Amino acid sequence: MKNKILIVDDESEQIDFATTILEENGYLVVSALDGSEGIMLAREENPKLILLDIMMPRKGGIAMYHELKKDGALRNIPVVIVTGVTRGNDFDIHMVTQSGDIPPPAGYIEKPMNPDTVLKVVRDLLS
Amino acid sequence: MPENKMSKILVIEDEESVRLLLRVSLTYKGYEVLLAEDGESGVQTFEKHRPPIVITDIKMPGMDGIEVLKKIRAIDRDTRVIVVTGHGEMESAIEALQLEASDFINKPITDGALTVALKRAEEVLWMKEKLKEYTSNLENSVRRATEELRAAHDFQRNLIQSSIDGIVAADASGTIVVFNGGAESLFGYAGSAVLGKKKMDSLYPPGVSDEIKEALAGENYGGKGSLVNFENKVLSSRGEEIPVRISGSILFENGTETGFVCFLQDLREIKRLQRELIESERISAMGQAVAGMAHYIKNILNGLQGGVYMVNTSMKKDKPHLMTKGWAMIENNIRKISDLVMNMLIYAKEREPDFVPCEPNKIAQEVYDLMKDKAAQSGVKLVRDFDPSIHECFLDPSGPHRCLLNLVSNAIDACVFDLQRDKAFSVIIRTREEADDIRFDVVDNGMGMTREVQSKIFDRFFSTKGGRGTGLGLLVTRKIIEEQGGSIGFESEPGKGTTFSARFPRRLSNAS
Repeated sequence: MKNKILIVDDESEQIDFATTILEENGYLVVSALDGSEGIMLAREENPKLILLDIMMPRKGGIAMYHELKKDGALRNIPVVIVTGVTRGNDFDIHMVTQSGDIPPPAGYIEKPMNPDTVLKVVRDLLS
Repeated sequence: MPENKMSKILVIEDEESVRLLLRVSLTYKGYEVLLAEDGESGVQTFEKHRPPIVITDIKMPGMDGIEVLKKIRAIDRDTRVIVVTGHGEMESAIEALQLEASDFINKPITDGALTVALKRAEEVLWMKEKLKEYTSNLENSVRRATEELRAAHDFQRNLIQSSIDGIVAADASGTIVVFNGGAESLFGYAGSAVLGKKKMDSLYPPGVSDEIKEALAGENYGGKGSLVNFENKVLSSRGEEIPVRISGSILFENGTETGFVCFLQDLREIKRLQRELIESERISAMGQAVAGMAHYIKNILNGLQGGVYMVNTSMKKDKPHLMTKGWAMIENNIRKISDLVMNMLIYAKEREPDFVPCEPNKIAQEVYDLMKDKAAQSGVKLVRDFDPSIHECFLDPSGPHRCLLNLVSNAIDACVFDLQRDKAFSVIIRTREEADDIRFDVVDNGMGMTREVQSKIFDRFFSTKGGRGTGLGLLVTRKIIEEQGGSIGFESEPGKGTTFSARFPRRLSNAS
């Protein structure tokens, strides 16, 4: 059975790009354009992994991340942060985990996305 | 009025009854009374106690009152000597007055006459005392003033000599009479080579002397006859022109011009620091720009890579729908790059607007056509509200075109970023004609701006859009508008929306 991955990004181009990478490599993809829709799909679709953009209108990536980690049913889904900011820099980690008990994300993918890097991160987390 | 300060008084009187009368009376008035029965013992008592007032009888056996007066006068000219005269002693009284007796009382002595005489004596004494105090004060004051003057003079001389600023003064003929250490190091002349030898004019490059005279005669630099912070140049001994700040004034004595003094502040160091500051600001602005730009370019690059990846995948696996999507992505991101480059160029370069006759509504319509689809994709209705009566005007149409594109694009973003999802989002492009201006409004009902954001929107590289903005859009918009002599304003309320108004002067040509 194919692994299902949820992509949350407000830019349709970014969703198309990531979707193409993942679908062409045997994954099933669902996508949401903001955090609220993302939470909804996370509950309904039971994805194995979430690719989450940080800077989004309406409910942003950080708010959605916190909501995921506080929800008993969702907190174990690994989340990979997709960011234009240099990967793993202090600012980013601080932003994502600012309220103490929130664990750091499972991984980071930096924009512009390199398809090989994306596949490696996803494969490592789902193996 | 002098107060009775228990002063001593000497009574010289041979008649015992009068002596006793005076003692009682004077003691009652508060004096310390010394008594003498004759002239000789009176003078002795005087020498011993130096009372300021003496009352002496004129007619006495042995040394009489006139003698006593002479002796006392010889000892102390200031003592008040009141002579007591009996009936028929007018001649003696006159003599006593000629010998500077202070006053005289006739016998029989009445209390009233005594009081008046004493009062007059006291007054004179008081006046003398005051005069003495005053004189000695005056002497002190003069001494103090002299000291102060000397100190001030030394201070000024030190100040002039040790001042870092060059201080130069010339007499009425223009010959230099003061040339301090600061001036020596500024000009490179030794004082001895200049003082009394050179004219003030020789210290300036050609023409500057006239400029200074003009500035002195005018009101612009601290009023007529003086110069305050007048920036110009002086000429060093090696012929170098040195930027200086000149403060100075014409010196007058009794209404006649006696010279000119000036303070010269070397501006070379300040100018160098200014240049360095500007340079470092430019570099830090560039750093900011590069950081913001890199972020934005990363996003574009991401889109381009996505597009290329999809086109490649489409070709490899024969999936035509990916080709269409991928190609659209590439086109879209190429457009973004060309917009960015255009904005950067507009921002970085001065550009002379190229005014031609054009129709404002046509410009607005073009922008509407370009942005309609993008708005619809973002769930925003783009609305036209054009005033059909607007006349042809004289504009550089590329200006309002780019400004409207930027403003409409911002307005759509403001709707997209709004947290209230149940709103019917709209962006209105409005054209209006005002007295001398064409006004373009872009009205959105999106998220609006907080006061903090409002205060920063025209800051260089400030953006609320993260990697999706460069912080250049509004800067460029304002620059374009101002280049055409127009102005931009806005009103905004968080949660309600924002209206930007761009005004361009109509510049109706005379021919039309």
